[in-house]
Amino acid sequence: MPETDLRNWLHTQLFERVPANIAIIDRDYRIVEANQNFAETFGEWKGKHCYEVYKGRSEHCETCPADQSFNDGKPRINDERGVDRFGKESYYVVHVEPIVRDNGDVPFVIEMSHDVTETHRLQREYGFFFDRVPCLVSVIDRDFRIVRNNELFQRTFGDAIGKQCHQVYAHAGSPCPDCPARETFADGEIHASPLAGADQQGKVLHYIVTSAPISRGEKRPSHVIAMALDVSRAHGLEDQLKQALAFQEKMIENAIDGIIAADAEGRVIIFNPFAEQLFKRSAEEVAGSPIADFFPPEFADELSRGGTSIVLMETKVRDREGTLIPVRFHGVALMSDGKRLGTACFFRDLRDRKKLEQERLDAEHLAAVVQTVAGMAHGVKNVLMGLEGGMYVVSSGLKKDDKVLVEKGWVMLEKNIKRISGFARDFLNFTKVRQLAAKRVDPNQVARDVVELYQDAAHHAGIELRASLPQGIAEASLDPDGIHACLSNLVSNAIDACAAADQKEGLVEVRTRERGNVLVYEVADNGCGLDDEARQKVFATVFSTKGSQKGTGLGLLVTRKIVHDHGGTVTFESSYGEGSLFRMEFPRERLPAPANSDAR
Amino acid sequence: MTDGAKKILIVDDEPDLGTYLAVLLGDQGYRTYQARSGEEALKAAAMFLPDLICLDIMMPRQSGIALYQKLKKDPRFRNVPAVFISAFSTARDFTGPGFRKLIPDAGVPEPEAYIEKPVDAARLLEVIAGIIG
Repeated sequence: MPETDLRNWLHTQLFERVPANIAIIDRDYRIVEANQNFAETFGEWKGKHCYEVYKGRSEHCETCPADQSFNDGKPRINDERGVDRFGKESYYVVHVEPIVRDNGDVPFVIEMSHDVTETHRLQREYGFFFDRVPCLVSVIDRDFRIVRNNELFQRTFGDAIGKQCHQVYAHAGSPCPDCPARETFADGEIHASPLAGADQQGKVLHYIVTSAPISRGEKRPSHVIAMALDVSRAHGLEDQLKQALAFQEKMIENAIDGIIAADAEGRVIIFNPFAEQLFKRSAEEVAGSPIADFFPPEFADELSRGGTSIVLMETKVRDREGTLIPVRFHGVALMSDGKRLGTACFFRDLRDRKKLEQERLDAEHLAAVVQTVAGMAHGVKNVLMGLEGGMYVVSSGLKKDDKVLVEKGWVMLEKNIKRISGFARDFLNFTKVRQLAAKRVDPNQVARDVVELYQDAAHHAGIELRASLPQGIAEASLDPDGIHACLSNLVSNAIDACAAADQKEGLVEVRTRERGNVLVYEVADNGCGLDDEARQKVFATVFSTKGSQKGTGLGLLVTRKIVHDHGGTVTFESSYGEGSLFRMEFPRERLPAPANSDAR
Repeated sequence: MTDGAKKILIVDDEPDLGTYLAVLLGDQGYRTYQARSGEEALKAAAMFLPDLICLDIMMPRQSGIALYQKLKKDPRFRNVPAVFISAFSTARDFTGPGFRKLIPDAGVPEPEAYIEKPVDAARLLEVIAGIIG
């Protein structure tokens, strides 16, 4: 560009192209000239006063930099706040340049302004964040003296400006051992470390302090900004978590169940003292070994099928010596989002319970034997009485030569001798069932046999004997002869009870049922029933309502004994004149194991 | 047997025992009447007006205890002495607190005697003679 053109461009174009708002103002504060940028920022200016355009005012400002420049002919730089042409508050830096005539007059000033609204906003925001950020912020010099701090810092520690940071943070006389500011001063990098301290009330605080250099390019910063995040609360939570974990550990330690847990790879990580006792192994020796060595194969099957939990009411595990121990087992795969985190197994030792159960059965058994024997003694008394009476009546008849009396006495003797054979039979039953010959049988078949056996006798007595034996009752390990004897006894009692209540049509029903895991036999009749006194004595001792012609009174005792030997119970309901219901219940898990020859 | 003979009501549902007692007591000169149930015993007592009642305490239809209470509540029989015969219980059940457990009603007195089965004939006769002569 030729020089003339350049000058020309400067004269005509520079004014418009310079990236500043330029306005020329006369001594009446009127804008006499302005560039395009000015118009774009502040809007229409022609014929207006500067204060109208800059600030939307109707009078000129109290302090006016242009005024001063008009007076002293010197240039100035000012920070100003005004409104732009949209009425929006803006900040700008104004250079006031007087145009001075040769005679020293200043007829105009040139005002060149730069919009610094954005910078101003950033500054304000920085200040805001500095003060309001929810952590303790301070600026520290190389002597570790605090030169600036934010509001929270002020609230927490009080006045701190000029104090050394370790005094403030930790009430300490020398810098903290892990001071991140010291490291930042040394290498100019950002550092962070956890520090413990106390606020001005002495409350213990935990912080994570991050320090960053404040520098203008020097290698060794002159100041650092230290930001301390109060993590006391998190610290407290961590403590609580630790406590909860310790609590849980104690629970596992002291559980009355054996507890074994494994990680995702199935390696044992928890083996509590009870598990140590149960398996006769120490936690140390089994740590890291496969948990599958300890749980029953059913759990492995369940896991391989994709199952996550199994409860085995009764299973067996082997201890170190290979002894089988009965346990209740609960296995759980610990899952999270479909991923297996680990495995936990719980073992309840059933040995004590089994022993108690056995003791209870033994005690019941003994009680039954004692009662039976005591009862038999009473029964024998009655027979003796009959024999003695018979003999007396015979001899009295002979003395008086009374044939009728002799005959009477003879009948008495005969009857009681028959009773003795009845006793012999029941005694035999009683002793025979000392040892059960259990085998797997259809419970309904035994009932069917008994109903068949008594069909004739019932028919003969004009009594209906029927069976209600539903399908689907599973096989059970029973002594079929023993159960046969029990049902026979109950059915024969029921038939007698119906016969004794001769005013109505007798009905005896034999029923079987499955209730939960309990096998139930019932014998119901609509016979004479039992009165209060008789009800109390049914099982109390040898008891017969049938008079001396029938019954030894041993039947029910033998029945009860056989039922007890099967781990079952026998109960009855009876209403005088309405009938009776005798019920034998056999919890399946208590049934005897089948005898060896029959074992599955 | 004379008209002045003492009368004994034997209540027992076992004919054997009844017969035995009837013959035994008859041989001693007592007049006896056998009742086979509680109902029969109440009727018989009213007709026969016994001097003593022998009562079996284990009768199926009407308990001997219930019968005894009825008899003792009835002014006609209130003062008729009773002898219990039972294979079931011991003397403890028929005397003192044991008896009150059986019959809480304080208006019903204890029986005059209790004989355990099997009956010792000599002892029974001795007891009865001691009560009614």
